[in-house]
Amino acid sequence: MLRKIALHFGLILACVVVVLPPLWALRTSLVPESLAYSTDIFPGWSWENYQGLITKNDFLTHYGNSLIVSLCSVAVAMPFAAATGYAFARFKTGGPAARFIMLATQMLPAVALVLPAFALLRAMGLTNSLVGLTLVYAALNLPFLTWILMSFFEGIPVDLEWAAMTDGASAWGAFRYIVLPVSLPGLAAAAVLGFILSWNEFLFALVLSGPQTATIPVALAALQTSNGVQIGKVSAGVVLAILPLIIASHFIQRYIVKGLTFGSVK
Amino acid sequence: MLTKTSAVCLRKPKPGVAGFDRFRLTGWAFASPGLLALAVVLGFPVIYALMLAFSSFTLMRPALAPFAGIDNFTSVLSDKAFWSAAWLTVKYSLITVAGEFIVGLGIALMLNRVVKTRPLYFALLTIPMAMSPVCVGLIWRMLLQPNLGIVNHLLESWGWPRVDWLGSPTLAFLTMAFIDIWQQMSFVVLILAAGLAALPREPYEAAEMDGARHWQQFWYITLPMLRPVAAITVVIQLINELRTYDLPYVLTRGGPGTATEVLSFFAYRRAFLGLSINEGAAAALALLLIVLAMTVVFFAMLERRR
Amino acid sequence: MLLKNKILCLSGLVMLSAAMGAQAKEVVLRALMEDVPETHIIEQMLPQFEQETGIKVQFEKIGYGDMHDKLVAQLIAPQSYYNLLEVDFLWAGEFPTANWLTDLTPLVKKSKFDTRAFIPSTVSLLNHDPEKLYILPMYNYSMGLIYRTDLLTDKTVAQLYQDATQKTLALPKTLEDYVTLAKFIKQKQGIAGAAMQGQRGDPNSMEFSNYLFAAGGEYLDGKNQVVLNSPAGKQALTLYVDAIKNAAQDGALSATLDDTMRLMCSGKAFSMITYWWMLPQLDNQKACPAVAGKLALAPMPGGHGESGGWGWGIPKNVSPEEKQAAWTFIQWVQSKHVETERALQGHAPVRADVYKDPAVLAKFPYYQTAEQVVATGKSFPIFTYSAQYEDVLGTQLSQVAGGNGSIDAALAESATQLEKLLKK
Repeated sequence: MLRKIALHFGLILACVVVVLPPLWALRTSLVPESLAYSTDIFPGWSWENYQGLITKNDFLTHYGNSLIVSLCSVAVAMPFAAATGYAFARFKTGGPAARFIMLATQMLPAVALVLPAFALLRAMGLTNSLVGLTLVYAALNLPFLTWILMSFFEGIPVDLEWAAMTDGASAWGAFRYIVLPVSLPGLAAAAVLGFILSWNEFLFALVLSGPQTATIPVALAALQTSNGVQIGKVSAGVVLAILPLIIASHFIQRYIVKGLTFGSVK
Repeated sequence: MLTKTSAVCLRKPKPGVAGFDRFRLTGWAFASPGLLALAVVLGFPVIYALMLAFSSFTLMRPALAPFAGIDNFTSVLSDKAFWSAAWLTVKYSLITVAGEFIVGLGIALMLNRVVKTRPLYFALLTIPMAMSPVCVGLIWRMLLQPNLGIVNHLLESWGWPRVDWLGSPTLAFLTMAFIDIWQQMSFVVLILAAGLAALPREPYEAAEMDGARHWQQFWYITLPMLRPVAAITVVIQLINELRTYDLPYVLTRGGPGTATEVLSFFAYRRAFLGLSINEGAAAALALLLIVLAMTVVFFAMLERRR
Repeated sequence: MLLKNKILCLSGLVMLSAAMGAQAKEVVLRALMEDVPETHIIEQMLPQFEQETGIKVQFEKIGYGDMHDKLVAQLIAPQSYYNLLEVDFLWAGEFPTANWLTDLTPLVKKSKFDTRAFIPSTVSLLNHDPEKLYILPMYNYSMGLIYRTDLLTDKTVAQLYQDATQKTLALPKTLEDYVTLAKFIKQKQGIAGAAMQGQRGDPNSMEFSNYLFAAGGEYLDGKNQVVLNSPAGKQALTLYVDAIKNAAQDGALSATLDDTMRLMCSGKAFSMITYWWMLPQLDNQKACPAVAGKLALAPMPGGHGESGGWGWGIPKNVSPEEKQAAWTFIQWVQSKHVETERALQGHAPVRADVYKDPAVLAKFPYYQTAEQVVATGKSFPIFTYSAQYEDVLGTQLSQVAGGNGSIDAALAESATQLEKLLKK
């Protein structure tokens, strides 16, 4: 019983530290801009920040763009990442070199890659389009997702696939019907990660998109004007940007918490 | 007892088939779509970036030729500022990754033990991840504003002195590290919670029957089984932290003095203020080599302790 | 953000093709503009221009950080998408050196446009070749002193000041007096004497420039030699460090304009050195009730402050028709009539006659002082690497203000770095 209390105390403490800044952002978003730095908790109530974002800064368009690009880039990247991760985990394809080179593409600061990426997309006629950005994000996130899934696959006992293959399944069959279901927590976590990486990415979005196809990070960064930071609107944008993630992680919960079927080996 | 995870088991050839070749081919069949896609989309940018590092391309003279050999590198590496930025970046990455991992693991372990309230905790704990680094910087700047911010206001109302969070050279570095840990830890929680949830139950049941205590179960069962996932989390975080740019840019612009000047800043100064894209690319490449070296060292350490 | 923007511009660099239909029979002017009130004021008047001349004008508005790179990308390409340019004074060295701008002198001669109407300091801020005119002034952001009148006229404060310094409390005339007053206010009145922007880079190098000019110092002499390391320069840096340590708000080393503006607005600072047109934003009952009616503007104590400004330019890589159309627009938008109309909306003028216009003065009486601020302003060194020097100088200032190293060393290093960059 004491253990339970200590557990919950620890978690509540962690939640408080984690949640207070966004809560303050929520508060600031509902307060007029000029009172943003007031030390009262609620010096005044106003919707002006949300209104301003939506009417003057075209925020809903950017929001929609972010949603489309993030969801699609994950949908596109995951199959590739899963297949390649499986190859790395079980078949050691390409040896240590392949996986490290793949990872090494992530080690260059984005700055160095954006400019040639722009040239490439321009040649394909995909600049200023959500399709172009989706493809780039899918490719950018692929190495990380591959590595994460690879590590999850490595953690699954190989007996399961072996049992299936002894029963006559092909490698693909074993992968599709045995490994994938069992690795649902890993897939879910990777999907959320991929979504977040795309949702928060700034540099490529700035370069590769135009006024109509800009995403949320670009829109919010523009709120730093030479006349000061419009912190009220930034806070409103942050609050709106967090919402899909809360929904997504609640949804993903089930897969991560779900009891797993290791008993099937017996 | 614990199943082997190596691919050796899968190599058991099916009857009547040249097992080895088929094995390799299957592997490549799985991997080639992803690798190909990556090569197409990222290949050109990466190669071009490398070419820039060896070129004479500047904003004033935007042409690749003549080939500059290692001139850019000597210029960059002979700058004292490069080495102090590199050292600062390494220190920063080690502190933040260690912090994120320890805190994240602790929280993930606690999360693993609760059942009914887990969705609620989980939803709250993953919020920081959903904020882009620029927003994290802006919101925290608001909180930590020395004269008008809520944090100092609370400190003062409890009778403590105001703290110069981002203006004091010593404190700025630590404050930035704290904010980074605050945000990145939620990502670590996500991955490790998933990793913990994926662990099989049998070893724990067996251990309970043998009378093993909780910390023993943690040390001898959880940690080893979590190793692959934990290792990759550390590596990914290390790579991200070494390349960090947005947070220092928003919080301090590399100041006060050079207290928070990380290596990606140095590359930015060379490329965009100094208008020498070639040197900036060389600095970026140097950063890549540092990251690669640290990653390889980390994996080597991991292998040795197997 | 500056970084990202640079990337954008570089992308265009690699691109090599940038034009988007400049062969249209009807010329459309396209300009990349900073998203600030000045731009909005002109935007509202664009329909007027179109009616008078038949030329359409499109403004693309973005934040300052993104502008430079996006522009340069176009200027390097065979043909520029933007055929009308808004140029910041910090780029006024880089753009002409790189040969990206059309010389306006023949255009001025042909249309007999009277450039003497502009305040000289605004023109010299943007044009460093005496033989050529590349950029015509658009609006200025010269820096002066905004201060609290209520504290200066308060009898109790005056008495305390008299006791402490044996001087009468009045608006300071020299830099030294200013710093003394600011320190006094911080010690005895419990609020910051000066709200200072100590963040490394543009904030602190601009602020320090005011101190330098106010102390009688200079970055460069008439022959482009670095004279920063002089007795005046040393005094300026000493007073700057003194101010930031003993007169400024807590945490000044990480403060930007956003921070100092909010501090001033909340009444927790006596003064700030800033763009003169911040006055109406602060002296505003709705936005800053704590200080509305209690603020005034003055030129920098010591007589000279730091000037900044934006101007209009015409790129070289566009067709002659576009150049002509752009010139028509520039003449129109900077004519007395149009500029006066802009001023009535809150624009910061660059023509001397607009400052003297009765309607403008009736609406904004402090524009008289503003004209002085603009006329006496001096400039940060403008050359290809101005932005880099801002960062270099900013680092030195930030370090010495944080207690790291000596004033002599910081001053010497700042001068050396400037010489190095000038030679580059």
